[in-house]
Amino acid sequence: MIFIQTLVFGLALGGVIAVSAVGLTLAYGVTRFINFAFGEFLTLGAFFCLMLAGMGLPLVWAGLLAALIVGVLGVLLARAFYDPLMSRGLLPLLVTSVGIAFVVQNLVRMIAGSNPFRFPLPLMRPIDIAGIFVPREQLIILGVALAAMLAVHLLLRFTMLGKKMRAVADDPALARVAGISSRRVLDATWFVSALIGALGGILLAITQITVAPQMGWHFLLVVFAAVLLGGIGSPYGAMIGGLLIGLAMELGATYIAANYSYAFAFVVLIAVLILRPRGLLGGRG
Amino acid sequence: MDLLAFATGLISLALIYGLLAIGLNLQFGFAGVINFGYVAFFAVGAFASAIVTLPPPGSEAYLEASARYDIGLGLPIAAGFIAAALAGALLALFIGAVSARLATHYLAVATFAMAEVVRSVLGNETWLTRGEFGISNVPQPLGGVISPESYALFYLALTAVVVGLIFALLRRLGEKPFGRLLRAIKDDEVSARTLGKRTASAKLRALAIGGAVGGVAGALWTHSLGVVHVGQFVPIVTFQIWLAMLMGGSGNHWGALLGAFVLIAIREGTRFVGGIPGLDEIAAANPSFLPSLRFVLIGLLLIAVVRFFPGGLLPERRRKAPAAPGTAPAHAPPVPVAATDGPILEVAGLRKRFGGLAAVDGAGFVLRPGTITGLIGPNGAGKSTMIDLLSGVQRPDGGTVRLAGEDITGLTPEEIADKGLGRTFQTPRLYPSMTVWENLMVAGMPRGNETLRAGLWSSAARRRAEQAAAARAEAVLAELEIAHMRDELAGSLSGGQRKLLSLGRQMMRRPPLILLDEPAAGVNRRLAGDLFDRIAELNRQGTTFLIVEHEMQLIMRYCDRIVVMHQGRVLAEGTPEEIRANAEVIEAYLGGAVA
Repeated sequence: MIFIQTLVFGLALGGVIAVSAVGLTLAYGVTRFINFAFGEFLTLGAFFCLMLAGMGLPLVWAGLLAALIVGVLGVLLARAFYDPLMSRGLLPLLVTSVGIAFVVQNLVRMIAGSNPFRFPLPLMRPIDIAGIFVPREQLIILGVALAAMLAVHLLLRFTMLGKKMRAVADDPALARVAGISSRRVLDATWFVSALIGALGGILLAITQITVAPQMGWHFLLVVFAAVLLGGIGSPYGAMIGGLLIGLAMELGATYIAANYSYAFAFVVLIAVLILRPRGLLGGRG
Repeated sequence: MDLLAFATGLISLALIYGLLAIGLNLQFGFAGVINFGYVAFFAVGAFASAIVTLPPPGSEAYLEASARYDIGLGLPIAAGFIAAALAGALLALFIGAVSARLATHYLAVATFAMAEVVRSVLGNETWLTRGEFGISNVPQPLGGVISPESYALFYLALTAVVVGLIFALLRRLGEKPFGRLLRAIKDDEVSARTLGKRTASAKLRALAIGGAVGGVAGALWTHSLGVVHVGQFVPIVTFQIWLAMLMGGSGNHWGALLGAFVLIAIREGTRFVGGIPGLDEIAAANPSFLPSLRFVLIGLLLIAVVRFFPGGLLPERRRKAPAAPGTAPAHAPPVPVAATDGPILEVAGLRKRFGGLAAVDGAGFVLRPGTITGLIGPNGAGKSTMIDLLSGVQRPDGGTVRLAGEDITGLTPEEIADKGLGRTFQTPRLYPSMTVWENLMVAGMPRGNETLRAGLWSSAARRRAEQAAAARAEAVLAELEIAHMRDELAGSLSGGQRKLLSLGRQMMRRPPLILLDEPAAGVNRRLAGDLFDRIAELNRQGTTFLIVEHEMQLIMRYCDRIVVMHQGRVLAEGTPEEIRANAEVIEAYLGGAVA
């Protein structure tokens, strides 16, 4: 009984992680660096959604509009701060992304204050399935997460943009020779990455019921675990990694020790990395 | 007086951050390890030292201070510092062992994550650390003896002594062969491995020393505050240390120290943002406004420093080689060819696939000792992959490689290099941020001299080894006619000079078998001829060569034998005359045009 409920919660949390991880890993595939400011897309998504809902927009529209806004912000941030450093190797990009994370997180705190806000989700009665109470929120999260991942799958598989993104991820030089404008692919990638991140942030706000300036930065660690577990740069790996990490965290918190749920994410991660240094779906290092 | 205490406190703090920046600099600026979890060493050092030195629970001092904690060993402060260093080093060794196989990205994330796990453990294990409450009453050295008024000054002196000692020690270490090896690893780890360097263990040592330094900094900090709690060790501390190191200039301990002073000055400077008129009302409504504004400024500074001052305030300076020794330059004696009548290298059925492409597909050939063999073939024939497989840079999927009769298939590059196989790369993989002289010295330094111990204690034998290597470097510089460039950075050399220097690195080692990947490509014709004359001279002294080259005239003139590869297989093998007359070769390689 508890086990099945834990599974449901684990899958829902896993869905949130998976969506966020896909956003992070998509950007990695094209740009080749891990964006430490990715967590701020989650935070911004949740806060914009909160703000727009507060202005009277229905929650669904507030969420979609928030994701679009964050997508555009993602492109602007990348153009202003990452693009000039693209030719300078890994470290400047990593450190800059950390700097952006601090700036954005603290700007949010300057405007909104440190205290968490309640996410304005209407109260919902849990569904009773064969004697097991499944909260509707968890099902909604899982549904949205699966839909988002399906959308990413369709994007990568069947659209020209998706094919170009995969081409650039495979071999940037070759893609350029083939006439793919890396400029536009880069913009599109940042847009999609930030948009998905914002969506993940909104889902995270639903699971946590609260919205706080440091939520994205804290969650980043778990997202990293999922990305590395799946194999960096592999969107499908990130999906699997996210679900596994979510399950591990909920199961660990229920059956082993509640206050170590973050640590469990890393126990799983480290175990996998020792066995397979490039993750489950072995990306290109 | 208050101002004086404030200033001395800040200088102590800057010194402690300087120590942290130096420890990080050893890990990144020297060994190139991107550690985004450095704060963890600071944290375990602080807790270790506090717990070791706290009076035991139940003791008189414990009751008197009405303290609350479960573990206190009541040992002297010095023991606390040692425990802090050990704790930092052990944590670093653990992190290094777990993540040794990870590539750079993974390492940055893994270290970041591990620091968070450490913080989570310290926060949850309340029996050890009292969690969020922290431990107060951490003893202060000579706390009861020195008057409270002059204590800040005393602690500053203590900090200065500890930081100064460690600084001097690490600077000395950085200029020794150990430090040189670390900088080489940072520039190009694979190429260091093909010179027989045990890079993994050298990096682990750098990590451990950096960890110990971070631990000592933690001890210095916790005893100055008298309080330790887990909330002090959040990730932004790590990135402030990065900021200090990057501002100062990585690879340079003076820079790291200076960067820390600038960091503290700026950090304290941002405290006065509260003085800006008009901010009061906002700050009154939102108590986190001003602290957040300070972090925004620090974040912007981090971005700006990386973008606009990549070298930092004190960029790593070019090291000047010591003056050439007056004694006549001594060449490295050629390593004698293994006493075997058989071939020096036997390759059989070697295979390597990349996805659907069989780059090397069952190739085999034999090298006789004392010969020069050319390895030719059209682009994509698998020549460079062959060199990578023979030298261990890539692992073959099948087949065997024997060096002087011994099976070396699948060994690591450093093991193969030790067995007497040297190689150069098609694009010379030098250490661009090191000078020509240093590039040679790294190559020629025996492993026993690159140890940590050799870096800390010098002995007559070690000085002799350094002198011997320096003498050989002079000989190589003279032989290659690049003595005038000895203090130039390798990264500033022309393409031809790089090729010369990469051959020079092998001349420092004199392995019996050297594989050269396109030594004359991009080299002007006269220099290319000179280069091959040197190769012929080395060959006369006993070195066997396998040379990948497209310049047919050179190949035909200098090689004793030629192996032709085509589509991953050996198409033909023979003397230059035989190859010239081979119809198949002409068809595959020369496209029939010359026939």
